[in-house]
Amino acid sequence: MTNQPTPPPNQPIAAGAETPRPPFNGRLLVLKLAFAAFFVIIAARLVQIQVIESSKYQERAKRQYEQKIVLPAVRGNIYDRHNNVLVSNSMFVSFAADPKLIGDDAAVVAEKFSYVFGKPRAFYLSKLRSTTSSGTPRRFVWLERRVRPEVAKRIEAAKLPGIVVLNEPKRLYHYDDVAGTLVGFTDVDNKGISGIELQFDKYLRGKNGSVIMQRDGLGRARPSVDYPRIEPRDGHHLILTIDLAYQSIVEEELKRGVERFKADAALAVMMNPKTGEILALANYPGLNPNDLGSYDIHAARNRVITDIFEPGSVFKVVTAAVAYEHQLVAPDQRFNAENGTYKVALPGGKFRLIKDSHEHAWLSFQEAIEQSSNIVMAKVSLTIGPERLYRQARDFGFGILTGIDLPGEVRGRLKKPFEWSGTTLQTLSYGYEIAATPLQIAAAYAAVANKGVLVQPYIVSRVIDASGEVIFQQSPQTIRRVISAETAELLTRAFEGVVQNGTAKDVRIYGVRIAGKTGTSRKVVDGKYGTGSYTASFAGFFPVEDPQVVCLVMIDNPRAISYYGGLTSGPIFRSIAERMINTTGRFKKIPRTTTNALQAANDISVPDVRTLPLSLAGKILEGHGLRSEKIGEGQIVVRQVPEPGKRLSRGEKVRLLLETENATTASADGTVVPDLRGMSLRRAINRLVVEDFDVKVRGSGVVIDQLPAPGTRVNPGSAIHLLCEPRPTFSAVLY
Amino acid sequence: MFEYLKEYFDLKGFILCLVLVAIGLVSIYSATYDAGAAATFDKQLIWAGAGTAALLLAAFFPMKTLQRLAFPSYVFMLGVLLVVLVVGKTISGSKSWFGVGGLGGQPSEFAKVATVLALAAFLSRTTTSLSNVRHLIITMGIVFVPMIFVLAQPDLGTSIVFFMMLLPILYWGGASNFVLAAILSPMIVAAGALFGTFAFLFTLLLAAVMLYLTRENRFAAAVAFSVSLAIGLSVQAVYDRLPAYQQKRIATFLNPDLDPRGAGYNVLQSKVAIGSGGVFGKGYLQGTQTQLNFIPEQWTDFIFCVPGEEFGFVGASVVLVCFTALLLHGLKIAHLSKNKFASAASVGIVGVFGTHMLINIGMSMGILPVIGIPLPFLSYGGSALIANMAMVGLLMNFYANRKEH
Repeated sequence: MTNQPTPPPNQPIAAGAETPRPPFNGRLLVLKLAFAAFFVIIAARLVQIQVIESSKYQERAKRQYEQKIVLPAVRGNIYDRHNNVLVSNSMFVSFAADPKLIGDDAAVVAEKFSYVFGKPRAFYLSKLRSTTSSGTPRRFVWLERRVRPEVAKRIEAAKLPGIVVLNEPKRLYHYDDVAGTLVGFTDVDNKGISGIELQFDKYLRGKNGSVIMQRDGLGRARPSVDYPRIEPRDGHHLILTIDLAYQSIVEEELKRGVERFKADAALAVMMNPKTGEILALANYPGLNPNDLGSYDIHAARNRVITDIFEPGSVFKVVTAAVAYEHQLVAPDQRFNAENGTYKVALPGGKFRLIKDSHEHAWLSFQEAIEQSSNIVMAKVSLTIGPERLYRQARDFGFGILTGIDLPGEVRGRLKKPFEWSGTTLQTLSYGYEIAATPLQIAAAYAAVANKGVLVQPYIVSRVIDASGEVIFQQSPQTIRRVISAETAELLTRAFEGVVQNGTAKDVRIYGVRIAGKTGTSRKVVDGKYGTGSYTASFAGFFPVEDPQVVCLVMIDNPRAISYYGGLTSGPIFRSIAERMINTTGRFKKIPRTTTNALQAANDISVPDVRTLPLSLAGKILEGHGLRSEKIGEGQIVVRQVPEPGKRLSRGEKVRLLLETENATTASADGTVVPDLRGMSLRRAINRLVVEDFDVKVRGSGVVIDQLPAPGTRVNPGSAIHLLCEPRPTFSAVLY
Repeated sequence: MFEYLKEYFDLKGFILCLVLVAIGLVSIYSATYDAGAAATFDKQLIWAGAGTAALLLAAFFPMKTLQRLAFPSYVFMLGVLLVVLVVGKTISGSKSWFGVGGLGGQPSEFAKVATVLALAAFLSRTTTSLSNVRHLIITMGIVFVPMIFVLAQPDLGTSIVFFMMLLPILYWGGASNFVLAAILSPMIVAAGALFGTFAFLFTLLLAAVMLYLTRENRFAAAVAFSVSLAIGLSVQAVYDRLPAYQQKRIATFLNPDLDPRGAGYNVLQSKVAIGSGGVFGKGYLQGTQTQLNFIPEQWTDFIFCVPGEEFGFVGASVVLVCFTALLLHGLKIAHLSKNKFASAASVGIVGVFGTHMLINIGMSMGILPVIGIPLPFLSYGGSALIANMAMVGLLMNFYANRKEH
């Protein structure tokens, strides 16, 4: 087609030279109106969304771009009384994913995670493909939580899309199961759910801070300038009254006792009788808060305060106290002990037999306590009468919460006189028909040791904030005078007699005056007192001239050697006391006790078996009454723990460190083994894992020796044996 | 001096155009401020310079020569569109980009200009009469051929622009009401069919009434109605053959909350951005939705959100008023022009701008489906900016020559 250069006027379509108007005017108006209509429609819509509904859209925008990010507060540490860290935190890494962002890369991500963490790919795939109830893909799923940083690096290095990496603090319990039930543990969100972690959660947790982040369309967050950043306030630290050294000793001895006496369990509580400070509190079996999965959930219970027992003869402290307090008996007053069998007449012509475990004809009251005669106590109780016995038991704190700062304490059960049956007075006098917690019993003995004054037991001595400022300081609380100082003196003399001449002769330690009382109570099994099941206990304190430590040891259902408190809990008490005394050095060292060889402590000098073949070394140690344990591979002993010349008790273990193949064939370009001695096991493992060693652990707690020796060159990936002991290496002091 | 300038230089159109381009640059700067697309603004600045050159060239080009070149350039552009279909570069699913070496562009933008000019040239022929069925068919063919090429890329948005600009030109060119009704009917019925049976029947009734009132003979009216009915019925078939993303866009337009994170995301975000701007806006570079990149590729089709959010109702109104003033000014030039070619071309240009503005701003605020066409002068894009500024230059040219025959 070609154009007309000059269109002539007056054609149907317009543009007439002189009169362009006629056909156009109306149409111009229509077109103008059409465009004006566009304007009106758009303007009306603008008014609608920008003026009328603006607040709705502003709200929506805000919701979309603002996000509150929590700045987690660091949970407070827990220290023992010497500022040894029991619990702190370490940063772990958690991985989450935004499945929507990952999209088609799910298989790659799952593959990578599966490779690093060893779980099946399907595990991650199902998480990545999980949907909300409405069927849309989730925007946030956890893939792995609380991963060690060095493992996490292997994932981060892969630079996977849509993976969210979060640093999460995790509680680190430095001594694993030492004081495990006492300290308790936290849940996955670091909230205390048991033990001290629960009781003092409000101090420990601190206060999370926050920052308002702007979230952009791509999901990236950036801090907003419009809102102030609220800094987190870190949790307060707790300083416990617990002495880590004593705690470790107690736990070791309980374990040893349970094994030796083939018992179900054991527990102990140790306190300062003057202040009420709990120095050690232990349950065996206990739990390791670092590794909760491997423990029975019931082990989390702190049985010292949550479980009740019929105390048995240890309760005679109350009967003797009230008898002395009211001068109803004199220590040398003689009683007919009925040759061990006493028939008590009951209303209705029935009889009830009271038996002693040993037959005696006549006993002074002092001797009756020493020999733990139920018959004499029952007779004396008739003189005391229900009201006075009840009131004295009440004054000692039976049936009342001690008020210790731990969760889950129970009050036990002390029946009021009007609830008593005809024989309750007598059975109560030797510790039945009453239920008490171990802590209540320990507190009662502490009152005797403290010249008759009951103090409140406590376990947290100070709360300090992150900068060291003291927030709260617990001071010793006197509850009441329970008995006069004179009565306390008489009781102490009686209890010292128990150890010197009575049922607890096995507790004797040469050179240290110990006072205490044994107890052996039959356990109620299926509503009846069984014949074969006992709770054996020993409550005592030392040194008598100025009591500093009260300790109660209870062992549950011992089935080997003996079931008597004096022969089970007593020796455990003795081992604990002995080790405490030796560790502190406050008391003169006792070279040899006068008791039998089986219980003599530290009387064997460790022979030197280094450089000997394993089999020969074992035989030599056996000849000295010691056991051996081999560590590492090989046949030649390179080192031994303890070293030659150290003193051990019969039956204790000597660890023999053997030469490994690796150590001898290590290439010159191998990895140097770091010095791990003195480190906590956790730290040592972390260190070794970082350097790709294979870790083999014997024991728990602190590394006391290692194989190969520090500085040795070994091939990468070699096994490093760590020999650990729960006991910390510092030397303790006695209070 | 000023009198002379006013006589021969269309200051109003020129200034309106520059204001809009400036608003566009300011908006693009904000939209790309923190979106990792900093080069976008610099490039647009260069395009604006090139556009100004194109504007001045178009403004001072001899009008008669322009008219003579209309058909050859139209044919040339058709050829380019064909070449693009074969060797073009695919961007966002459309084969619309044509590049040689470092230079490239979207020929469809320039094809719009060529088509407007060709239409105007054809209609301004003395022999042409729109009551002549053959001429009517040729007129529609001039638009439909490039439109089909563009649709094949496929670029639904631009092809709709081709169709929409036909209506005002035909109307201005003196087409009878019946002709317009016959062209409009199938479109209305097709749109109605997308909304469901009730809307389909309603639009069918509307078409019937329109055709009945404007009928010139019953047979033609019946044919037009049948065509509308057939198109309406086949919409579903056509819909099925649309690319998935366009189906989704249509479905989302009908029910925006259907998929707030998917296809409905853009509209929702754009509404939130504009709505949250309020009356006075959040301040330049302070728009949370814009700065935090909630609207993907905001500097292209959703640029209107930037003045809407950061300058609020006031800013959005300024843009809207400038556009409307430019459109009415273009109509005034069409009215004043004694040259039929210039007059018809002005109306075509106004039609192109008007269609772009209505669809783009309409979709930004959720009153029209998301059809991917840019907002003239504001959206990022070299070809579009140069073509649009050139069209303003043509308007200025027609203004200067308004008294020429």
